[in-house]
Amino acid sequence: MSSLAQRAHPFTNGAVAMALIALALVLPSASQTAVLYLCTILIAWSTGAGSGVRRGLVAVVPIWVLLFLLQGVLGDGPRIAAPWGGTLSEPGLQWALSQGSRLAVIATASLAFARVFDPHRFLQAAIARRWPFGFAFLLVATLDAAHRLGEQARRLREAQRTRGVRVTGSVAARMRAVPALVFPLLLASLTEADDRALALETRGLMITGPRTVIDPPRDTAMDRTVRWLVLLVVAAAIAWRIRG
Amino acid sequence: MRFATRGLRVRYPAQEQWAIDGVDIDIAPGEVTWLTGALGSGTSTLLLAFAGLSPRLTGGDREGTVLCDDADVSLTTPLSQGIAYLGPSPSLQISGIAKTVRDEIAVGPMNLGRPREQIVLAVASAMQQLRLDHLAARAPDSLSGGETQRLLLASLLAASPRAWLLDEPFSALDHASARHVQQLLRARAAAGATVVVACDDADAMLEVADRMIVMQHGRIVLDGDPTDLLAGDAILATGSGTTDAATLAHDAGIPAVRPLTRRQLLQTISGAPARAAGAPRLASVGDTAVAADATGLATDASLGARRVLRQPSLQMSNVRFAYGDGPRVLDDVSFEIHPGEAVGLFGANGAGKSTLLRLAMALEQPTSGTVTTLGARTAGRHPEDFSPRAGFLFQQPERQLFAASVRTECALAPRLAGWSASRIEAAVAAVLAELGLTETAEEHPYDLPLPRRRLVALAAILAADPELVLLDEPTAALDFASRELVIRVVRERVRRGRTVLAITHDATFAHEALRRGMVLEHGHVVHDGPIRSVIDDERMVRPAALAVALALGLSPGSDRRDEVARTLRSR
Repeated sequence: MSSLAQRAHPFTNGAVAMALIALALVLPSASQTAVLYLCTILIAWSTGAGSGVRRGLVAVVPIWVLLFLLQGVLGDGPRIAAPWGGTLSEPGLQWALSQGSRLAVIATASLAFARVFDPHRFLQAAIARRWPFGFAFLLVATLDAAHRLGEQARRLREAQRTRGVRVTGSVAARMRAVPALVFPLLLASLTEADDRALALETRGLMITGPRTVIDPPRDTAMDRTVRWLVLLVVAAAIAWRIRG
Repeated sequence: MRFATRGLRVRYPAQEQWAIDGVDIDIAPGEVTWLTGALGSGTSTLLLAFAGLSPRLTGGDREGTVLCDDADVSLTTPLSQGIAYLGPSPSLQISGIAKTVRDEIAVGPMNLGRPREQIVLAVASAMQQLRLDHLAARAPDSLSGGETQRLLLASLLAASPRAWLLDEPFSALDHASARHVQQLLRARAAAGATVVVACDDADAMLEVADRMIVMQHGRIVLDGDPTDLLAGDAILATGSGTTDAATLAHDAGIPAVRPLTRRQLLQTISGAPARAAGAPRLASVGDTAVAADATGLATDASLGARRVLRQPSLQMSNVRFAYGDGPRVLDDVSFEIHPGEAVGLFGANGAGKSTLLRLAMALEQPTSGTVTTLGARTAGRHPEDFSPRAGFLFQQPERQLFAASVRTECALAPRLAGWSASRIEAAVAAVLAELGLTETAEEHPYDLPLPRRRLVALAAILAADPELVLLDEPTAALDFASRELVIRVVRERVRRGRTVLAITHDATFAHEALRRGMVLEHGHVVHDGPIRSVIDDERMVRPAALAVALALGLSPGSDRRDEVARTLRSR
C-alpha cells in the first residue's frame, strides 16, 4: 500500500519540501530552526518518507561534528561550562546549532522528497497543467541525476571491487579508493550524457508536439489546501522576518 | 516505409576511416532485411544512419543521402517519423521518466500524443505480446538483461512504428523469448512494416530474414537471399558467420551448397531422414549418451574422481536470497562446482541467474544458507577478498571499464595482487594476444566498438588467471569471430584446470565450451546434469555438432564441433 506522500499530488510534495527549505533559510534563531528540523522529521515519518530522515542524518552528522568543533569548541565569545569539563563558546554553539539544523532541514526535506518522487506522475501532472514539456523534463532529469550518478558509481565500484580494489576497512583505505572512482565516474558520466541523448531521441522525448496525459494525478481539495497553507506560512515567515 | 541511401559515407569523430564507405541501397517495406558482417563492418552504423541518428547524435561526418520515403531522416526524431530503433544495449534506452514497466511502455505513444484510450490498449497489448504482464509494476531498472530487452521491444511496439531498426535484438533473450520476438518481427513485416535487423546470429535470422546484406569494411559485399548466401563459400570469405550447421559442414569438408539446418545436415551425412525436432529426449537417444543418476548429477568417472580429491571451487548450501523486502529470487539452492568443471547456468530471463553469480562473488550476501567460494565462506567477506583468485564478467561489462587504456585495464587485478612488473607485462600481453586485442592495447576502452569493449572486460578478468571464472552472458552481442574466440579462451582455461561458471542462452557456446549444466526456474535449481541433458531440451536450440554426434553415436567427450568435423571428414 502506498504512503500518504506517494498518494499526494506531486506538486504538493514539492511545495511542502520547498516550504520547509524556505523556512529553514528564513527563520533566524537556533531554537526556531531546531524546532523546524523536528517538524521536518515528523512530516517525513508520518507521510511515509522516513528513509529521507535516515539519509539526511548520514549526510549532516559529519557536518554537525565539524561545526561543533570549529564553532563550539574553538569559537570566540563568552564561554559556558561543558558537561564533561572545560568550556564551550556560547555564541559558537548557538551558531553551530542554527546552521546544523538548517542544513539538516534542507537535507532531510530534499532527500524525503526524492524518496517519494515519481517522475512519471510528476510529468503527467506537468503536462496536465500545460507546463512546457522541456522545462518539466529538465526538472525531472535534474532530480533523477543524483540517482543515475549513484547507480553509475555503484556499477564502477562493483567492477573495481571484483578486480581487487579495496573500498572497505580503514579510513585511509577508503580515502585511497576515492580518486580511483572519481575520474572513471566523470568519464562514465560523459558517456552517460550520450546515452541519455540516445534515450531521448529514440523514445520520443524530443518531440515538440502535444503530449497525452494518461493518468493525471488526482489534485484533491486536501492537496490544494496544503499547498495554499504552506505558501501562506512561508509568506508570513518572510513578512515577519522583514518587519522584525 | 522505404529506405534508400545514395553514396552514403559516415565517419565517427577523430577517425580517419569511414565506418560506412559508399553504400547505395534500397530497403523495401513488408520484408525483414538482415544486416550482418564481421566486427567493424559498419552494420550498426548503417542502422543508426537509417534512424537519422548518425551523425546527428554520434557526431562525425556524413556524405551522400539517407532517405526515408523520399524525406531526409536526419532532421527529426525517429519515433515521430514512425521509426523504432533498438540499440545493442537496451538498458541505455530506458527513458528515466517512468517508475514502472507499464509507465515505461507508455512513454513513446504518450510523447506522440496518441489518444489516451489507444495508449492504454497499446500498452496492454504490448505487455501481453512480450510477456511482461507479471512485471507491470516493477521498476524498469530492476529488470534482468533479457527482461529489459523485452521491455524496450514492447515500448517500441506500443508506439506502432512503420519501420523497425533493431541492433542485436536477441542478444540477451532466452530461447523462448527469442522465438517469440522472431514471430513478432515476421508478423510486423507481414503487416507491411519495414524491418531491418543487424545481427550476428545466423540461425535466428535464417528463420525470419527475407533478404541478407553482408558488409565488410563499411561496404556491402553480398546482397541476396539468406538461404543462398549462407550455404555458399562467399560468406566465409567476408569473416561473417553462417549457421551452426553450415559451419560444421564447412569444417567437415562438405562443399557448397551446404546444409543450413541440423535436419539438412543430418540428411546430407546419412542420406536418411533426420530425427524430427522435438523427438525423444537425450536419456532415451542411445547408449552413448551421458548417463544421469536419479538426482540428475553427472556420473562421469573423471568428474567424480576430481570431486573426491579436491574441495569445491564454489559451493552453495540451502541458499535463499531476496533483494530487500522484494520477492525471493533464490530459494533453497544447493550445489557444488569442482575445480576444472565448466558449468553453464541456464533459465528463463529473470530466473535468478545473475543474482546467483553475484552471491558467488560476494557482491550480495544470502538471506540464509551458505556460499563458499574457493574454500572461504562469503559471509563477512567482500568481492575484493576473492580477487584475483576469482574473476567476474558482468552482464554489461562495457559499462564497467574504468582504466585509461586497454593495457592498464588488464593490468589492474594482477597489480593489486602484488605481481611483479615483468610478470604483469607477460600476462597482459598473453591475454591481449589471446583475445585479439594487441593492436588496441594503448587505446581507451571507451573508444572501441561494443563487441571489442566486451572482449576487453573479459581480458581484464582473465589477465590474473583466476581459478574461478564467473561469466554473465559472455557471448552476448558478439560477432561470429569474437564468439569463437571466447569459446576457445574458456576451453583453454578449463584445460588448465580452472573452473568456469557461465550464464548463457547461447547453445553453441554452451556445447562447445561447457560440460555441465544447471537450470534455474523461479529461484530453484530444477536440473543439474551433463550439458547435453540441458541443451537437448525444448528450451534451447540443439547445436548442429550435438545433433550429428547423437546421430553418429559419439560419446560426450568427442561431440564438439572440431571433433565431430574430424569424425565426418574421416568418414
